[in-house]
Amino acid sequence: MDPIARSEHPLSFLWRDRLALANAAVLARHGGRTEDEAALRDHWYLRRETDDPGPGGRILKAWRHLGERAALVPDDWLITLSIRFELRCDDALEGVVTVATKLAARQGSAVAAAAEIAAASMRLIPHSEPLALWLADIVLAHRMKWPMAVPLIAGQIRRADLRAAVGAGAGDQAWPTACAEAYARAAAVASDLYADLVRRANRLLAAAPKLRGRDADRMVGILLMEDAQPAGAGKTVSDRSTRRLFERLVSLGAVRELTGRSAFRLYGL
Amino acid sequence: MGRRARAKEELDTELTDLPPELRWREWMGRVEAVIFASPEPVTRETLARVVGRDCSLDLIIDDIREELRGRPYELVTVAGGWQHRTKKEFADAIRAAIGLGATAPKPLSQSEALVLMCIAYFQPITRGELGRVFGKEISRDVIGHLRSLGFIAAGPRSPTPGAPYTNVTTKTFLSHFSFESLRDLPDIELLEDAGLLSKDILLADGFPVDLGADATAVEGDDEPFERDEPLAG
Repeated sequence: MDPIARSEHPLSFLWRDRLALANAAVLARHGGRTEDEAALRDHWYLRRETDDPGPGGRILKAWRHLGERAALVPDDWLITLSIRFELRCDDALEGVVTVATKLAARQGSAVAAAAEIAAASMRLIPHSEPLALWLADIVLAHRMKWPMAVPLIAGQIRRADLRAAVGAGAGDQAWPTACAEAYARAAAVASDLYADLVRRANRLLAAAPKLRGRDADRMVGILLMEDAQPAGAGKTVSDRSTRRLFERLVSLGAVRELTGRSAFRLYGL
Repeated sequence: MGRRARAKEELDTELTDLPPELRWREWMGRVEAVIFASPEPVTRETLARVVGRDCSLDLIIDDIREELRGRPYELVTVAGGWQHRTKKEFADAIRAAIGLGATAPKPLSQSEALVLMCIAYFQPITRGELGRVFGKEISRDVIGHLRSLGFIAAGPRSPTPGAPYTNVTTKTFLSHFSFESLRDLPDIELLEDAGLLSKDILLADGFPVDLGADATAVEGDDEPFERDEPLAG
């Protein structure tokens, strides 16, 4: 999976978005919410840029942010994390951030560091599981020297394991092992997803020369990078023209309509 | 905003020419002044602009709180920031002197409070869906009033005919009811365990809790929204 995480191909942004969506859906379920991927995607894309996507959508926001370059900067963690996870900026959060910063800077096993920060975060701020998992992925990315973090662990870790990590002693290997297994599963899933996206992207690129319309090139570019795209009006083209473009893409088998609805459709690879 | 930010850059935050004790006092003064001057809770990010880089805001806040002991007002932690608030035991005195204030908007009615609570638990939720939960239409005025109080805002649009905006609660809502996050909503865990934190289930199965009946009843307790909840801090 390492070469994929290092690549800065446009497709890797889409890959991270899809992983973020899958991770956020699992976390939403853990948080007692029942939004699935489709509902979260709706919350995200059917809002105005500045509007609040709601509690479920905020989890997705945090995980989409995880895959951005800016998320790797330790100096910003205290403030962005307190906002993203609605936590009080107190000694506990400061402590977690300090540990994370130290672990991120050091060398050595990436997975062990991820396990360590997750356990530390759960000990200091037990009520925020998302924080622990977010930091695990970030610290892992630092150790792996990836250009951007990849949303991985949240989709695969068992909650009971994470809870048990709090009480574990120094010699206890149960949590690091569970963590390593989760990352192994997550890496396999992520690699499969990437392979699938590459196939779809090739189909889209093969169809691209057959497209007409002023916006077609730009839209193909967006579709390669974004999880989903509503058929709204673009800067230079009308609503109808975009709709036609998407219909043509779907008939060519180059993109999918993701919602299965007859209205408020969202298109993506 | 940009202009003000630039003016702040000129502010000497490190104050290296002062002895440590005076420096600390100056930082304390600045932090308290900023919080005092702001009508809304002030975030750490904002306060960090007026103190030195290695200054611990938490210690500053603790020291200010220490100084405010015995005063009728205090620094409380709300909605991810800090705010000056009069202590609640003086609420009666304030009310007797100036009423709820000409500026204070109409307080929430029982049914408005219930609608607000429903939004808080089941957000994002549209007015139509609220109507189905309560078994009667929720008027635009109720939503409008909650919005004018700043408790709710527009969320994502619902992919249903008419694409209505859903409603979500705001930071003001958290701050007003002294919640730090939605996790502090009363009994949220009970609802979670029952799998009820989803409006889809709620709308599909009907509402098992007695809330729908409460909405139409005139009396009944509105515990979660009692204004004089104990203040944090």
